[in-house]
Amino acid sequence: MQGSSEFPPTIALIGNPNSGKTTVFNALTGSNQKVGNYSGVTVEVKSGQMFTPHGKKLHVLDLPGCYSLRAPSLDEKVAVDALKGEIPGYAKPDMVVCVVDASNLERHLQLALQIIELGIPTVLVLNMVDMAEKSGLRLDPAKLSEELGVPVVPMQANAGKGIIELKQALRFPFPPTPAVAWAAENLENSRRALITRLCELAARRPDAHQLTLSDQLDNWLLHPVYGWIAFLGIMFSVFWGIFSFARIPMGWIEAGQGVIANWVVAHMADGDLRSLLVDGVLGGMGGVVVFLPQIVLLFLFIGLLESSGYMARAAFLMDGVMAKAGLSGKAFLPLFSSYACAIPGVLATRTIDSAKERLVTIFVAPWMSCSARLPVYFLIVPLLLHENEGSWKQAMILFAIYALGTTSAFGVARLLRAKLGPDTGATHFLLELPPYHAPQWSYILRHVGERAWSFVAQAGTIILGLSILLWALGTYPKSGGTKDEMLAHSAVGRIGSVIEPAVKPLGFDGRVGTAILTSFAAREVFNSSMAVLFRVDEAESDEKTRSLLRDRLAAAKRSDGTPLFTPLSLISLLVFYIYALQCLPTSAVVARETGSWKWAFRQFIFMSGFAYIASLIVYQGGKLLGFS
Amino acid sequence: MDWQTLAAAGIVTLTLAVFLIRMARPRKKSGCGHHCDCGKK
Repeated sequence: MQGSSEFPPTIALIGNPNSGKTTVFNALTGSNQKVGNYSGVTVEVKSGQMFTPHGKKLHVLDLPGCYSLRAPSLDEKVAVDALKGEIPGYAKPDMVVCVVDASNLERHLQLALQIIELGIPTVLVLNMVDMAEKSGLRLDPAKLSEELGVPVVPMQANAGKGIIELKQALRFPFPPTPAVAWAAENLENSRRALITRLCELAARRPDAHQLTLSDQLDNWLLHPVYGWIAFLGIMFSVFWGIFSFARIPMGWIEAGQGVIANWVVAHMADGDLRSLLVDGVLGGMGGVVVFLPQIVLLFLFIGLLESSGYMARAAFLMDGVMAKAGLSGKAFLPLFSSYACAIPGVLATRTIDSAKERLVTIFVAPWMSCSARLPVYFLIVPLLLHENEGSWKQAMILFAIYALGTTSAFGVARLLRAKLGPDTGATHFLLELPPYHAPQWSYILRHVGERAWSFVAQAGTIILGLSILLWALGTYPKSGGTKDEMLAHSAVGRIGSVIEPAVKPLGFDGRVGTAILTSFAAREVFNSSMAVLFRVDEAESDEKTRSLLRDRLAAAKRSDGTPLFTPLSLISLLVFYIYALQCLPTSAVVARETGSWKWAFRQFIFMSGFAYIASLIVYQGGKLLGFS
Repeated sequence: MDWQTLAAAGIVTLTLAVFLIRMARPRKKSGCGHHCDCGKK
């Protein structure tokens, strides 16, 4: 049935990983799904709508990339199930658009032939024809169409070229099911023979031995020595860039907060509402929003690495390192995605064939320092350094933080992998190395914009709400006396005194313990909590310095009058935040992806316990060694 | 009790109510809570 007036016909987009399905999907539907120049970006079925040139509405499904219809990994199984109409909520496709990379026809046509053999009307999209032609290929789409018996549309989807032709090919009624002329007794052999013939006829390569620019670049970037130097250089540049370039916009945000706070103080009499606005709302939200430029830069750099094609090279380089941790190169991309956020990282593990390797990758993914930890790091790291010290030192510390989280994750992965035992079946690591190309700025900027908005929206809702509640806990019940006495009498003071014995061995006091406790739902709440909880020290801070909160923290004292934040207690705090799993949404996704709350609970207990013990060892060990 | 104390207490009560209602409301979708890309369709 080709749809009805109630249910529009369904088109499924399928193809090998990194063939550009999501780019075609976005171009057809006007959506803005994430795209990247590496495989495994799409791990779930995504849906949208489009209209043919004659105004007919079509339902479009973007399926995860797969190499064949007998693939073992979860994301590939999703694609196969969707083609069979076995996914609840999605109709069986009336037509398939098979997207192939025109420069890799030999490999991509394997899947295309299997799709055609299914007997579903098919349109073949030759994507990235520009790259194929640049590499010297001479394509003949008409010949290919004649041989396969299906419409063939050449496209350059990232530039919108060929979209009109594709929409024309999708017009109603759909083309009939193609006759499969190559089906023989030995299907594999006949497919292979057909692909060889098709490539000779329709994708001739007159200068087959000429190295492309991508090949020449790969000679350096995948070199066993220079490749690693480039990799470390690129990663360090990202961290240095985050600290250096964000300074100016951060200054603007801080100045803006100062202007608003001064305006409120000048126009309102002293009272609870003024305190709520200045100390609770502006202090709490400001402590998080000020780090927006750094978050934006992180996502911008990750987007650039993905879009340029370098990310796949990084995965290739890391395959050997991953093997030492008992994982394969397939685990690199989910783990690298977790630097931005553990949730897409956990979802991206669907590309991993081995169930045990997937479970191990999910288990350690939250130790790859995500962007939500950045505000905490950016608050603490400058306290370890003098104001006039260069951003390269901050970048070095940040690099070390990421290295510690990553190496710890690899260590635990190795132990857990050994404990779980070998796989029952053989698994393979197949990685596409796409040609390098100029970044797709429109997608990158839109994605960065979405992330920035999501961060601001969160600050404007959850963090705003928590800041208000924390202010109330730090204010009520009211009492007379000094600010310190009032805080000690408040609910926060009482909670802090209960928590203090547990966190004192780590070098913290009750206020820091309370801030840690509040950040178990989402770790960036720590900054808001600290801003609200340490407002009593505002009068002692130096107004001339850039960051009020950092000054307040630097001036904070313990009950015995000694400084609360020493280098040792700050490192202890950093170590706690590197290891603690303080993100409820991540736990929820882990539970969903592993099929039960058992692993999510184990992960939470293990990571929180590890964070506590590591922090304890750092602080107590440091004191024993004579550090302060 | 001055107006600022009343207003602040009102805002705190309203915020607490919103949090409690959100916690009590059944979630339509399990999973990521739209924290990252995964919640978008």
